[in-house]
Amino acid sequence: MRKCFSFQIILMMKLTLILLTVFCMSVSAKVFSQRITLSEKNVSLPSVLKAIEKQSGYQSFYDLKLLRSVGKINIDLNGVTVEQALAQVLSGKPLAFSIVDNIIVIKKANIETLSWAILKDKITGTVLDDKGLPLPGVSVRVKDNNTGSTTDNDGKFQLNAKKGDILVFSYIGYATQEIALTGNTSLQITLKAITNEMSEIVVIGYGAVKRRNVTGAIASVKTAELNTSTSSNIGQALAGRAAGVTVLQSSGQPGAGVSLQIRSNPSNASAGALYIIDGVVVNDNAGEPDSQTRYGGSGVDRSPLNFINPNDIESIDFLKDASATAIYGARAGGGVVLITTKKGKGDRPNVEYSGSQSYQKAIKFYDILGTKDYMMVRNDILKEKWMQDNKIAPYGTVNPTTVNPFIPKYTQQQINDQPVMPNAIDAITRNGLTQQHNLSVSGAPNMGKTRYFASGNFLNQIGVLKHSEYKRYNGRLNLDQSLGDHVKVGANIIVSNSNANNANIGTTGNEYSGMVLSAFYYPATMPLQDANGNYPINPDYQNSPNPLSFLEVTDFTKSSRVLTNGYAEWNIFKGLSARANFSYDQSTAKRYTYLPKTFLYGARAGGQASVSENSSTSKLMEYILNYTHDFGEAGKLTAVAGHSYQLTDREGLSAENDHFATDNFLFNNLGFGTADRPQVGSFRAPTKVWKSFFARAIYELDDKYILSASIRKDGASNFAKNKKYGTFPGVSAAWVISEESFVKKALPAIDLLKLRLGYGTTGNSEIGGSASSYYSSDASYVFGSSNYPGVVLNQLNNDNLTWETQRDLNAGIDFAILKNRISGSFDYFNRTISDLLTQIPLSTDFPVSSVAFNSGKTRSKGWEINLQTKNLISESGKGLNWSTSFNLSHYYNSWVEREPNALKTLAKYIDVQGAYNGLYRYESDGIYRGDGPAPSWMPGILPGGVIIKDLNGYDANGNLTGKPDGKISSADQVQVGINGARYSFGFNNTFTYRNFDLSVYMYGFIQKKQNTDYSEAFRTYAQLGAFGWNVLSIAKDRWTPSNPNAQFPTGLPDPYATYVSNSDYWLENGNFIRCRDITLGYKFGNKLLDKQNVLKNLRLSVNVQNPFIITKYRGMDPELQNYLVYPMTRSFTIGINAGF
Amino acid sequence: MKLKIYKGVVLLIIASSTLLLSCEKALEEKTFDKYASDSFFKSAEDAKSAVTAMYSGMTGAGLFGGGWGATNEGWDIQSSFTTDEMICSWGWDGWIKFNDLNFSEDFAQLLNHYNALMPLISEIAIDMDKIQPIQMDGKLKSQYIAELKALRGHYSWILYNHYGPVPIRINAQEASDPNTKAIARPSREWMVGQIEKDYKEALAILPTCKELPSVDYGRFTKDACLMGLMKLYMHEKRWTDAIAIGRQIQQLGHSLQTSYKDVFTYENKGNSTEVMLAISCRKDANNNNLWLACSMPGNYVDPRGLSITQWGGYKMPWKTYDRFDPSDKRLSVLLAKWPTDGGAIFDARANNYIGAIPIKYGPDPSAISEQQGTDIVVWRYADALLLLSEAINENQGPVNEAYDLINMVRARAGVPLYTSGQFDQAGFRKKIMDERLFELWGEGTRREDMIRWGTYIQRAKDNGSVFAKPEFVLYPLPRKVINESNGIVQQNPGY
Repeated sequence: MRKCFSFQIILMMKLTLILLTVFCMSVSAKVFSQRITLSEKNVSLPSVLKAIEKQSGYQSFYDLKLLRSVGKINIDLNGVTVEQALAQVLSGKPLAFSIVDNIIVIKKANIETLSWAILKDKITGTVLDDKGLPLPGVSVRVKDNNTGSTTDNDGKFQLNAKKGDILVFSYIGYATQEIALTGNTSLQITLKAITNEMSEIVVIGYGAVKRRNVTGAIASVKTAELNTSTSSNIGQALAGRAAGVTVLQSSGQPGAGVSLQIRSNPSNASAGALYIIDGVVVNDNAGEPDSQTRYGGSGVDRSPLNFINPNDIESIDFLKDASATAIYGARAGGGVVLITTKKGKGDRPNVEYSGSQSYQKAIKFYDILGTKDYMMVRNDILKEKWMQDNKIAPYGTVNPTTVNPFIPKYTQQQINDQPVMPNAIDAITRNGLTQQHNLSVSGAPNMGKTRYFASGNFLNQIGVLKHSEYKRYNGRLNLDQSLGDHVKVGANIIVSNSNANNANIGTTGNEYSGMVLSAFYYPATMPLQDANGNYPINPDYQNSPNPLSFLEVTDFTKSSRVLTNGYAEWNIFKGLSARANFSYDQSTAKRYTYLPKTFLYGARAGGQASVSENSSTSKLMEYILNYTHDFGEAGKLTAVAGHSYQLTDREGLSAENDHFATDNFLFNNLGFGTADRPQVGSFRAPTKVWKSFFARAIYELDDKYILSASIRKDGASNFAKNKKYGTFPGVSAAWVISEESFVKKALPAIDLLKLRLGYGTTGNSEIGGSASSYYSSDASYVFGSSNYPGVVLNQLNNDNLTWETQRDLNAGIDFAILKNRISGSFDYFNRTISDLLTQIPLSTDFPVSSVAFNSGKTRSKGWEINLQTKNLISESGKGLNWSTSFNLSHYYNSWVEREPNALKTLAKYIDVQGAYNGLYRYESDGIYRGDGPAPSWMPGILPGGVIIKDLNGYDANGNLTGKPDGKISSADQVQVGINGARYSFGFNNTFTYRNFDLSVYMYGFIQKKQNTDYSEAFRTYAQLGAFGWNVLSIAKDRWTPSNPNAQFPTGLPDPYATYVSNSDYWLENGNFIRCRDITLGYKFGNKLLDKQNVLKNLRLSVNVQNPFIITKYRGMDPELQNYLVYPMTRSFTIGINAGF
Repeated sequence: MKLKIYKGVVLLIIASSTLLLSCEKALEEKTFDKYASDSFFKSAEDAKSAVTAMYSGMTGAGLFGGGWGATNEGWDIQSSFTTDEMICSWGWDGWIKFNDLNFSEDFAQLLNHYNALMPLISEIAIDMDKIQPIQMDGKLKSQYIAELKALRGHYSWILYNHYGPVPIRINAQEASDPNTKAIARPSREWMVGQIEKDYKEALAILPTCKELPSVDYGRFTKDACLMGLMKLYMHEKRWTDAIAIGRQIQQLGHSLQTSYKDVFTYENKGNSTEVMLAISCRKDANNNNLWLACSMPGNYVDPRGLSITQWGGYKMPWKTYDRFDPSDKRLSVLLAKWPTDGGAIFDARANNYIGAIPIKYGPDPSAISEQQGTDIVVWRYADALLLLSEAINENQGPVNEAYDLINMVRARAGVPLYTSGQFDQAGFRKKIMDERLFELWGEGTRREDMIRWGTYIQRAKDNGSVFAKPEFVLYPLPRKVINESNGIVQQNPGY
C-alpha cells in the first residue's frame, strides 16, 4: 500500500514494447512486401518492372520491343500496391496490364480503348477523408466502363475520362460518392466515413436489423470503444456504457463477476440477464465449487463470462424492453444480452496482435490502528468497560475507590518500549499486474465463400491481495463455408481454460475469518512472523490464524469450458432459408485446497485436503426458418419461425480427508490421510428441460414505417403439471418522421426523428427449485456413535404455481440534428410484473418454512436518455476533434398488489404499495451525550449511544397504533430510502488531434449506502477490548467520557445496538462519480509505417483506470460490497495494437 | 449444379430427420438426489429416518449450537445467562440483554425456540399419521410412535416453559395443510394435560435406560419421560405428583457417579448410571458440543497437550463463584486459576477477569475444531434427587428423607453434610436453591428453578437492570405469529 510506484515494472513493459516493435521491423526484411516504393528519373520501363519484381516477388512477362517503344520515364512510387504502381507507371501509355497468380503480364492496350483514350482528358485528383487526410487505396472508376484506378499513398489518382462521364469513388467504411465530370480535370473529393450509427446493424435475436429500423429499446456497445486490458470478462468493462444497463462491481478480485442489470426488474426470482453468444444461451455453467474445509467458498467470486475473451467480441446488444425480448420468452425477464463475436472479413488474411501490461494498486484499503494507537485505544476501551461494569460515572454513581481498581492492559512503560510492528493489512496486499496477449488471424477469401476467424488469448492477472491470481488460456475458431450457392455450414468453437489461485477473502467472521478479517484480528503489537519463521497467534483470540499464514494455504481452481456450435443453412429459394443449429456447452470447475500444518486450522486437523468439482452440460437444438420478401413499393417483409429444445444438467462431487503424515502431498493423495471419517459428497440437480416455439415478422415500408411482432411459447420442466407452458407475445412499431417529405422540407436541420412504441410480455421461471414436493436428509442425528440420516419434508408443492409474467410498455424517440452533430434517444418505460414468483413464508407452525408462490404484482417506471454530440470538428481533419456521449437513467419500483397469503406475514410497518426495494430503518436522532436525562423510551441508553426515535407501536391485535408507545420496537421502522441506485449515468469524452486520441470516461450513481465498514469499527469493545482485534483508526474519534463531543458513538456494547445497526445512522450518501478510464493513444502515421513492409497499422496506448472518484461516502468504496471486501484497484496500462 | 442440389437434399434430409427423430423428453421433472413426495414413507427405514429427523429439535433444528447446545441460541445457555450463573466477556450486546432481562420481540434469540419447535411438533403429528400404514414390525412401529410422542412432550414442555401455553398442532390433517386456520392459544390446563398425555403414553412403551441398546443411546427412554414429567409437575408446583414420579425414578436403578467431574467427560459416553438423557455427539456431526470453545479462555494450556478451540466467552461471576464452599469438588471444573504458557498459573481474579471459567465438559481428544464429540448431558439423576428433596420439603417440610436426598449430592461434592432438623422449611428451601446452583450450573435448570422460587426477576433488578418486568418470566412470541394469525394468537403481556 505504502510502497512506491515500481519503476522496474514500467521499465520492463517499455522494454517489451521496444523489443516487439524492433522484432516486427526486422522480420520485414525477409519477406516480400505488398507495397512498392521506387523513385527514379529517366529510366527505362523494363528496369522499372525489374525493380517492381524485386520488391514484390512477382514475375512479369512482356514484349521487350513494345516496352522500349515507350522510351525513358520518370517514376515516383511511395508505398503503393503493385496494381497502383503498374497503373501509375503505365498511365498515359498505350499499354495495359493484368495480374494472375503473382504474374504480371504487360500487353498492348486495346486499340478501341486507345482510340477512346485519345479522345479523353487526363483527370487527376486527390481523395481525402472527412478529417482532410489523404485516403490511399480508394477505388476510382468510370461508371459503365471498365477503366479504373486507385488512389496512391497521398490520396492522388489519375485516369482518362471524358466530359459527362460519372466517376465512382468507393472505399470500405465510407459512403460511395459519384461525381459527374463537367470539364474540370483536377478534382478534390472528400469521402464521408459511415459514422452515422443509424446504418449500423443491430442484432435482435434470431436476426438483425439496421439501427434505423429498430422498433424496440435496444442499446449497443461496440467493444472497440471499451478498454478491456485489465478485464477478464466483458462485464467489468460495461459499467455506465449504456443507458438503462446498471453494472455494479462488488469485488475487485481477479476474474470476479459483476452484477449486471438491464433496467429494473422488481422481481424476487430474477435470474438476471439472459446471455446469448452468437445465438447460444450461455447462462448455465458449473459454478465455483466450495472447498470442504471450514472456509467453503471463502469469498471467491468468479464470473461465468470469464470463458469468453473480451477481445473476441465485436459488439454487445442489450435488449431492454419486452417488445424486443419477447422472442426469448420465459427466460428474458431480466433482459437479454446478445454478444456477437468477431468474424473474418477481407480477401487477404488479416493478422492482428494486441498486448497490454498493467500495473495495479489498491485504491483504498482498511486503515487500521498503528502499534501505539492500538495499545492506547485498547487501554481506553477496557477502562470504559471497567467503568461501565462497575457503574462508575457517567455509567452510574459508584465511587471508583470502592471497587477493584482498573489495571490497564499496557503500562505506559510498555507503550513507550513497544517497537512499531508492520501493518497486517499491508502484509497481505501487494501491487498487482495484468498481462494480456491476443493474436487473431481472420479473413474471408474465395469471394467470401469461406470466412474464418481464429484467435488465441492469454491473460495473467496478479491481484492486489496476495495469493489471488488468475490465468486464462482461451482459443476460438469461427468458420463459415458456403457449399455452392444454396448451402452454408459453419462452426464456432470456444475453448477456455483457467487456473486461479484463490485468496481466502472470507465471508464470515470469528473463527471462520479469512485473510482480510484475520489481518484485522491481529494485534498491532506483534510481529507477523517470529525469528524462527513461525506464525504467532493473537494470544487473546487463538482461533484466528495469523494473517500471513494464509499464504501457506494452497487453494486453487481449474476451470474449463468448451462451447461448440454448429449450423447448416439452406437457401431453399430466394427469400426462404432453413437453418439448424446444434450447440453443446460443457463446463467444469475443480477446486483443490490444502491447509498445511504451518497454518492454524491445518495444524488442528493434522493437515486437511479437499477436492471438489462441479460440472454442467447444456445441449441446445434449434431449427429456424427465415423468410424475406421485398414487395418493392409495397414494402419488405422479414419473418422467422423456429423451434428450440434445451437440456441442462449440473452435478458435483467432493472429497475431504485430514491427518496427513506429511504436508508434501497436498491434495494429491487423498487416501493418505487418516481422518476417522473422511467426508464425501455428491449432488445432481434435476435435468432442466426447455421446449420452445417462436416466430417473428417485421414489415418495413419506405424505411418510414416499421412494424414488428413476435411470439414465443415456452415449456419448462420445473413447473407444475398443468402450468408447464407459457406464451409471450410482443409487438412494436416505429415511424421515421424525418423521412416524411413535409418534414424534410420544413425542418431540414433534422437528420433523424423517429418514434418507437412497443408492448410485450416475457416470463420468469426461476423459482430456485421446482413446483414439486421433496423429502431430503437435512436433519441427521447421532445415536450411539453413528450419525443417522434424518429425512424431512424439504419443499412443498404448489400445483397452481404459474409463470411470472412481465408486461412492458416502451415509448422512445431517436433523433439527430445539425448534420448528425447532436444525436440521441429518449425512452420511457412502464413495466408490470404479475404473478410474482416468491418463496412466501408459511405459518410458523408449518413443517416447511416457505413455498414457491405467485405472490403479487409490482411496477417499474423509468426513463433513459442517451446523447451523442460532436462538439468540435476540425475542418482540416488534422486539428482537434471532440465528441461526447452521455447517458442517464432513472427508475422507480413499487408494489401494486400483494397476494393475501403474502400479506399475512408482511411486517406491519412495510407499506403494502410502497417502494419495491425500500430501505426500512429506525430513524436516528444523533448521539446521546449523557448531558441530560436519557430519552424516556430508551431508559438504558449509554452516554455516547445513538438515539433512536420512538414513532409507533402495536395494539393487542398486532396493528400499528401510529403513536409512540414509549419503547423501541420493530413498529418504529420507517422507509428512509431505496436500496440501489436511483439514477445512474455514464459520460465519455473522446478527443483526437493528429495521430493522437484521448478518451476520458466516467460513470456514477445517485444512491444511499449502508456504511458497514464504519458501523463495525464502533463495536470497539467487542473487538479490540474483548479479543485484541484491531479496528479502523476512526475508532479514535468515538464518544468517551473524556471526548464527549466526538463525531462517532461509544465503542461499548449498547443495549440498543441492534436497533442502531439497523437504523439510518450508518446510512450514508453513496453518490459517486468515478473516473473509470483515461486512455491516450497514438496511431503511427503512414509516413512511418511506409518505411517497413510488415505492419499495416500500429497503435500504442497508455491508460489509467480508476484514477479518481468523487464521493462523500466514507467507507471503502461506494460501489463495492461492504465490509469483507476485495479492494478496488487503480491500474496503469501500456498497450499495443498491431495489424499485419 | 447437380452436385449442389445433391448436397442440399442431403442436408435437408439430415436436418429434418434430426427434427423429427430427435427424441425429445417430456417436460417432466426427475429428481436424482432427494425423495420425491410419493417415494417416502414406504418402509421401516423411511419411518426410522423420519423419526431421527424429529430429534433435530434437541440441538436447535439447524441453529448453530441451539436447543440443548452451547451458544446463545441454546435454552440451557439462556437459562444460565438470564440468571446469576453466567456472564460473558464477548462484546455482543445480547449477553448484557440476557443478564438485564432486557427482553423484547426484536431479540431474535428469544424467539427461535418457538420458530424451531412449533413446526417440529406439527411434523411429528404428520409423521405419526404416515408411519401408521407402513408395513413393518409392529413392536418397532409402536416404539417409533412412542419416541415421537416423547419428543413432542419434550418440545411442548420447552415451549410452555419459555412462552406459556402455545397453539401447538396435534391434528395431522390440519398440520399438513398450509392453509389451515390459525388457532388461539390454549389454556394452561390443556397445555399441561397434553404434555402429560404424551409423556405418559410414551413411557408406557419405551425401554428404560438400562434396557436401551448402546446403538440407540441418545433416544428417549422411560426414564427421560419420567424426568420430563417431574419437571412439569415441579413447574406446576404439583408436589405430590412430583414426589410420585420421583419415587418411580428411584426404582430405575440409577446412582450418582463417584466423581462429579467424570459425568461430563468424553470418556463417559453412553455408559453412565447417572445420566438419564444425553445428546450423543460427534465432532463431525450436527450433534456436537461447543461448550469448551465458548468457555475456555484464550491463554489456557491443556495439561494433556490437546489443542482446544478457545473463544474465551463464558464466565461465572465472582459473586456467584464465591458462594461455593472452597472445598467443593465441583470447583474442579470451575476455574479461578489455570495453567498457561510454560506451565505458569494464571490468576483470573488478579487479572481483572469478570469471573471464573466454567469448564464443565471434558475435551474430545480427537477434535480438530470447536466442534467436540463429548456428549451433552440433558438430565441426570442428581437433578432428580434434588427435585424430589425440594418437593418433599414443599409438601411436608424438611423431613429426614429430604435431608438424605440433598446429602447424597453433597457427599459426592465433598462438602459438609446437613443434619436433620438443621433448617426450617424456608431455610431448607434456601439450601436447596444453593445446592441446585452448585450442582447443576450450566445445565439449563436455573431459569425455571428461579421462576419457581420467584427470584428470577428480582435477581435482575438487584443487579441494576432498568428493563426487568414481572411479565418477563415468559419470553415474547415472534411478531410474525401475531401477524399471520391476524391477532388470533396474542402476544405475551409486557411486550
